[in-house]
This record gives sequence, C-alpha cells and structure tokens, in this order.
Amino acid sequence: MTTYLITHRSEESQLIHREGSAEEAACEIANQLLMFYGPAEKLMAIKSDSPLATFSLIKDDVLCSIDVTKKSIETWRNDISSIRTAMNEFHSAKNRAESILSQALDDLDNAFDSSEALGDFVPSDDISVYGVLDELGLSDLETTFRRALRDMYKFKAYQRSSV
Amino acid sequence: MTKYLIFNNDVGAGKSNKPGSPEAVACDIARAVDMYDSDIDDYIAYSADMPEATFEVLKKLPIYSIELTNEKIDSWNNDALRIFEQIENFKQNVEDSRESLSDAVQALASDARYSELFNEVDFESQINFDDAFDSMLQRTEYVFSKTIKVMFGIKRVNSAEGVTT
Repeated sequence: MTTYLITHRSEESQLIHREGSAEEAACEIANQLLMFYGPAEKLMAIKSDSPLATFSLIKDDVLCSIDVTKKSIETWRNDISSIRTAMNEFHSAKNRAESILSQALDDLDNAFDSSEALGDFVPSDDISVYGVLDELGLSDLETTFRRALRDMYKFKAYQRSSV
Repeated sequence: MTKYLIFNNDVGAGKSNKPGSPEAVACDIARAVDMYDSDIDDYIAYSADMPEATFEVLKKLPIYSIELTNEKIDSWNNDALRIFEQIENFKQNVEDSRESLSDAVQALASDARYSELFNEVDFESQINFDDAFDSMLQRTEYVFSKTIKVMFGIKRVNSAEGVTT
C-alpha cells in the first residue's frame, strides 16, 4: 500500500504524472473526494515517504492524503468510474426533468393567467418542481458514493481553507 | 340559470347525455372535480325541473348539483378545457421525466451490481422518485379540481343534506 499526499500543482510545474500511473489515479480519486473545482491534472500526488512530501507538509501545501494499492487502483479504473458516469447521467436526467417541468408549469401558469374566470389561481403557488425533485434522494446517493470511496482509499483531508 | 343534478350512471341502462349539451358539460365538470377517476359515461345529468330528475332522485341521491348559465358553459368550453389541455401536457411531462429518471437509476443500479465496491448498495431504494412524481401529479389535479369547484359552484350532495329539486 502506498500513501500519497495530494497538493495543488503549481502553474509553473513541469512535472506531469505519467498516464496510467498510480499518481495519476491518486489525483483522480482525490479530485472526486475533495470536490475540487477543476481537472485532476491541477493536482499533484507525492509519495508520503519522499523528501518532497515532508517539504509540502512543512509548507502546509497538502490538501489530503489517500492510500492506494494496485488492486484499489484497478477498482477505481474499472469499476468506480462507471458508477460515477452513471451517477452523472442520473444528475443530468434530473436537471433535464427540472427544466422540462419548469417550462410546463410556466405554461400552465400562463394558461390560468390568461383566463378571465380562473386568473386568480397560480398553480406554481401549490406545485414546486424544484422542491419535489430535491427530495429525490440525490444527496443520499452522493453521500453513499463518497463514504464508500473515503473508506476504501483511507481519505484524510488536511486543514486547508482554500480548495 | 338552470340547475342540474348529476348522478352515477348505470352504464348498462343505455342512458347517456347528448355530447355538447349542458347536461354533458355538467357531467364533464363533475368528472374534473373528481380528478378524472371515472369515465364520462359513469355520470348522467338531468335538469332539476325535469321529471327524469325527480324519478332518479326517488331511486338514488345525486352526487352533485350545479347551476349553469350559457356564460358558464362558454367559460368551460373556452377557458377550462384549454387549461385542462395544459394540465394534461404537464402530466405527460411528469410521466416522461419519471421514465427518464427511472431508466437512469436502473442503469446506475445495474452498474452497481457488477461493482466490487458498490454491489451491496441499493441505489434504487435510495432514490424515491415515485413518491415525488405522484405528489406532483396529485397536486396538479387537486389545483384543477379545486379551481373548477370554486369557478362553477358545483356542490357535492350528501345524504345528510338531502336534495331539493
């Protein structure tokens, strides 16, 4: 098992992780767990027993640490990314549904509004597309996914405020 | 203004209201208030001052009474039906969205079944979209039912109140 410390990659850094390397996978995993707003390429993985790791810790540059093995990297590549993709597709379907239903509810509001007799009723006062779809359980889904990842890769966040 | 009494229709008796007649409109309104749980042929309406109404009342109580004017009938045909079409459109969109989300969660559950890490996670039970969409449909139908009830002054007749023709 190897422990990696994850830091921001500096803009000037020429050091790029080799494609298919454990470091590259470590950055991808950390990217998911940190909810890092950017590509995984903006992160850098450093073996925890290297001098650079000690230097990064002293500089307070470390965002998190994760433990990986050959097997857990394989799991990440073969298994977890397909779950992540399926979850993203579910999110997209939910966003599409919200957009379609909001439009249909607007049309319904307009139909009531243009009616002389029924104009006082506003359906969207009683029906909330966003409220209802927010109750779907998506946050539970994310929590389950992230908890499983955190446990598997022994994710440990370091005290930093700007991620 | 004419008062109509609306009864449960015995479909086997072969009676029905003429399509487009005020009686048929009265039944349409009753059906909307009942949130379209029944077929239009399950209702029959009679003008309250006609002998058929008296005869029916002797057999059973009406379920609704309603007073209709030509203006109200026009309002039903022009306003309410147009709104009803939008409601049907909204309901169709709800059903389409439900189907699309159901497909997406099934794809997720299928991937999870073959996953080493997630094979014991029941994603389908975590996402409760049936309740969410059912609630949206019920609210939509309720809004329309409530609106129609107020707009057309349809009254539910119950046995405690009795019926006056």
